[in-house]
Amino acid sequence: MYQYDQHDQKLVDQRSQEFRQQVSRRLSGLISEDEFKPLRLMNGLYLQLHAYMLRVAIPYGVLSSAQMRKLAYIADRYDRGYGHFTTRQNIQFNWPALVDTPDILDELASIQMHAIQTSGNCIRNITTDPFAGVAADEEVDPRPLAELLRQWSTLHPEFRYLPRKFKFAITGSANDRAAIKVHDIGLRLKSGADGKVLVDIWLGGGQGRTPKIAQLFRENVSITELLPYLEATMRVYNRYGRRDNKYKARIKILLAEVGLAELQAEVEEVFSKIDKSRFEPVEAELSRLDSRFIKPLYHEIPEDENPEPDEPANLAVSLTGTSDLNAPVAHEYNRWLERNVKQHKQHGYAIVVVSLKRIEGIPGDASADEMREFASIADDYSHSELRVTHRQNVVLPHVKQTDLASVWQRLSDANLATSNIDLPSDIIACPGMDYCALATARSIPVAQEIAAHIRAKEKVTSVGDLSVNISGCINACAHHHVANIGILGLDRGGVENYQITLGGRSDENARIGERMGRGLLASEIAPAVDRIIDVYLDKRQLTETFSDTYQRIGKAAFKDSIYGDDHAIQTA
Amino acid sequence: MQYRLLSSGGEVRLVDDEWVNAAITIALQTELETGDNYALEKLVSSEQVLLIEFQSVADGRGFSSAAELRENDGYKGLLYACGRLNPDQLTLAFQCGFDGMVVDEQGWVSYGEAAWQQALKPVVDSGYAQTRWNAIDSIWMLRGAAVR
Ligand code: SF4
Repeated sequence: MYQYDQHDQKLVDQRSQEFRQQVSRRLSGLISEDEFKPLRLMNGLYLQLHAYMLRVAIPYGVLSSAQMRKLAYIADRYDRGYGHFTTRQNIQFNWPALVDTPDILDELASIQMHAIQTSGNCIRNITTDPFAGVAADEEVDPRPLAELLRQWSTLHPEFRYLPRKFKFAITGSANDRAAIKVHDIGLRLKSGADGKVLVDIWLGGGQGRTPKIAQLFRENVSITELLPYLEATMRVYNRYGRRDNKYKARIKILLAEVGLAELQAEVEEVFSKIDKSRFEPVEAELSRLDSRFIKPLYHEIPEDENPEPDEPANLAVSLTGTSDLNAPVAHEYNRWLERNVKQHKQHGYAIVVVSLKRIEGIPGDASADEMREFASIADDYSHSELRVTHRQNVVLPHVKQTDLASVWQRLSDANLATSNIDLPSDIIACPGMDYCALATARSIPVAQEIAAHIRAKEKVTSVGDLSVNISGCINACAHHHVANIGILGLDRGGVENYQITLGGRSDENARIGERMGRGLLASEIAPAVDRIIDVYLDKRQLTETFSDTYQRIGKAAFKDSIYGDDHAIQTA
Repeated sequence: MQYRLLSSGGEVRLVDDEWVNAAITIALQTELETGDNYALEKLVSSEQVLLIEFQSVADGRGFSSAAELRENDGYKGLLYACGRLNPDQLTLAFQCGFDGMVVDEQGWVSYGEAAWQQALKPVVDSGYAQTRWNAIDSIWMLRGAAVR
């Protein structure tokens, strides 16, 4: 993990001190809410439906156990005992009092965290692969560069008042788990022929009203040219991105209006004139960062030794006294190994994903007690490190395979062993009408209903990876456009109405889902999702994923399953 | 009308319409094809003062225009920000290459002298990637210096 030095610390301390003055000016009435608004937004403080909401950055999704404990403390002391993990590797607190927010920022600063640039029209928290540095399929560890970009973008004087917010995502693996193609800029790190890192820049992806898949903007950029090139790109966007209409202000619209070739040419021109010497300290800084992301001291396990995770049967024996592989406990454990445990770079180790999509739970919510339990399990079994994912789950990145049974036991005792990672019930849902001031419909209760509906099916069929995402309005915070099954909650004359899109995906072959017909009522959604999954199970060939089947057979069969006879009549 | 000219040294000077009119105000264009209205060859050598106007507090184009003028076009003369800006943006203006800000009576009064004075001595000083126009070294420069 990255450790702050005195400069990093001073910066967050000063920021927090500055915000304290601003809050006190607001509380004493010296400034109006209108004048306060841009100031609080710079510090991640939103005004929601019922209260203020504070959004805290978890840079590139990495947390120490100490940081997780502090988040638990903040949840208890200043909120209602909960925190909500978002799709952008942030955590939100939904009930802080304005007067407490400077204290919360101080608490955060004390553990090297902050809420800087988690809102407003600036460069937001940089997100990356939640398995960065540990994934077996990784080419380049994206974390040092992610930290470099965090520093570069933090309080960058030129880019604090952009036409609109700006999101970066980075991956260093061919299997994109960071959804880089639906970000304003996505960076794909590759290892070049001479061992030097090269970067492909994808530009203009995004969701919201006008979903777009990013285009390859510049290939094979060297690390030394990357920052000046990004600075040139941001400079062009800041100058020419539209400011007359906030729905047309993202860089994806500039790209669409100006065209790829012309935008590239303009950026090249600015880039050619940028004084690269200004970025000279960057190389030294990157190697400093590289050295600060030290590999945890893994227990070296000889390659010829194969430390299998503890057998389900053994676990059944130790817990129930029976060696029956069909004992419920062995069965549960087995399912968890299958769904929640991923392959690690280091021989003898595994990555454990903890699902925050429990039965009847709120997707992405964790209580303070659960956060403390995460911290404690991480201390005992994962080198005190945790990650949060854009699918709103938590990761224990360095677990010894021989410890898997113990970890499962601990999680299971805390009701945290739901084994549904990447299954349909691992739903991404935004806060929707329950918390969000912009919402046009509820998303949490609908997600809960779908999950309740399809859990049984997940258990008896081998449905496999299938993403279901629900957004409570057109802003698409839950990334419904790029879900296999996407659901968008709208308002039609005071009644919630849900639109379904199918066939989307957010990986390296990202696609925008296709819209089906008319919207459905809240009560119709769960059964419809169930029928859509049935069509897939019925039509898929061999190992086809949902997207594969959808591409092959097309929209019709799925659409029929949603609308049934009703649809047949309409289209007859 | 009178204006306050706030400069990086912390100085506040009164200037009038005549001063403002004598300066060249750059109108920022919104279309990429048209570019801005200045003929640089003339400006780079001119003795005149340049102003970049900000149309609203949220419109940060001028920050990039200043950086572009300084860095890409090599403009060495005096450059001030004017228009709708707030005290918190003064530091950014310095960091992007402005010599200061021209504040009209309305802006001066609505934020209050105290806020402007405080903005001239900002709490947040060093950032990571500050440009060279800021008198203060960036954090990356400081770290580099510590290594050497
Ligand atoms: S998608 Fe809409 S309702 Fe959901 S969190 Fe985003 S803005 Fe709020």
